[in-house]
Amino acid sequence: MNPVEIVPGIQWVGVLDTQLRVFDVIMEAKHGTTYNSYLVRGRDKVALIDASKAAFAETYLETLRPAIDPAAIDYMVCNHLEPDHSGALADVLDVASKAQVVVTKPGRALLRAILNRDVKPTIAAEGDRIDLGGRTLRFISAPFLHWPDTMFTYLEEDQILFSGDFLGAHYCDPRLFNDLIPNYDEAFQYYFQVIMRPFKEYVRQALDKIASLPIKVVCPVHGPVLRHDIGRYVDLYRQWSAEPPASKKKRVLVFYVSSYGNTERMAHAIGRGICDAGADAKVVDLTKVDVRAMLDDIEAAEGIAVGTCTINGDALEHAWSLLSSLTTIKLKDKLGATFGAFGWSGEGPLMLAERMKGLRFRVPEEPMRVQLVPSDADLKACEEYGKRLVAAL
Amino acid sequence: MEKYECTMCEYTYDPAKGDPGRGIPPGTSFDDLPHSWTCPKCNAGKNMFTLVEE
Repeated sequence: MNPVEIVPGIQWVGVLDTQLRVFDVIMEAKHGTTYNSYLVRGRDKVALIDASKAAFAETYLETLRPAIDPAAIDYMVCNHLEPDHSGALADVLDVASKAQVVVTKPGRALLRAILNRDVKPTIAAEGDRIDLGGRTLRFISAPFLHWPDTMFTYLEEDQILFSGDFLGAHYCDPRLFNDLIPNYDEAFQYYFQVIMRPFKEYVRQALDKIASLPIKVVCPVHGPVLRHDIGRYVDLYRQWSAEPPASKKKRVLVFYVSSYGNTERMAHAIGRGICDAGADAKVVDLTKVDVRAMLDDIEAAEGIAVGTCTINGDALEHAWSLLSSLTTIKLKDKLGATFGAFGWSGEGPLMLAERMKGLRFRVPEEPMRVQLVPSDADLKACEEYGKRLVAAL
Repeated sequence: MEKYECTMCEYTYDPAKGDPGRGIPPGTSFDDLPHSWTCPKCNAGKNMFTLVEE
């Protein structure tokens, strides 16, 4: 695509990826995406903000060249170094021979690992400025949105925020500006859920930081440029990043997958124990739910217990699938527990417990295991187990 | 004992404090941390830490 003027002297020079349907192997991109890059001209100096993906390096340079001779670029600002924006960096630097790369301190280590060449970047710390001549770039640290090295770049005179992935979306429309394209709220929300959600507290910090900045345009690296009704998008982020309201009672979700009903009986006994100890329990059959629809519940719960029977020396796929679905929510220090009935070996719950520790659940109790049919004494032990979980919340 | 900083999130490991939340007692040098130890803030591995020059 040709360069697009954002305001005089500032151009979009990105790439449209119309064909993309899956991003980073695991995320939907029903509407394709864009890799937005921006060229900012001051009176004396020129800065390029964020680049593109390696596979599009040539297309990207074709868009850039009509806007500027790359050799005239003074600064290559990388708001974060994820490969979809830094993959083409080596190609850019090959032709932008005098460009000084600008990254945050954590970005320096990532830059080295991406380029595998010796580049001495300028390190942008919170509040640092680069004067382009009548245009001033100010750097705002915004760690973990969603990479550790993330910053925003704020163009003071024009009141434009180059926000990286923040306030972005996988949505490809050559009309580029949010007031010129149809409502894309669904893509905007999905993007938040899969990219920003794991970092809610950092989202809130960043929202607080930019709250006092006058912003006329938000230029993210994916999807539409926001120049209309910016407050609405910021408010949505505010709403989605809020902590779930604390419930009066603590809550443990008890998930299970059971082939003969034995693990199921254990699940209900553990649930009873949890309730007897004064907490809330919700017992869920993993074969009957879409776990992805329960992420809010899981996030709000103080703990989760996962039960599985053991077949051929492994936990069942449903249990693994549950634990593989939690990457977008914060698990650190959430209580985890595992249990299950088994025929003769019973590795399933042990394997799940190790996996939960790896995910940074707190797993204070050994897995609760019963061979074949739980006796009354076994069920009583399961109830006690549920009570101990509540005590450990 | 020497402090080490996470190059990703700038968390500083201070041997005088250790990492009691994960069973690392005060007085444990960075070298003596287990290989499986990771940054308490961002989970980066030990190899992502650099010595803090005082």
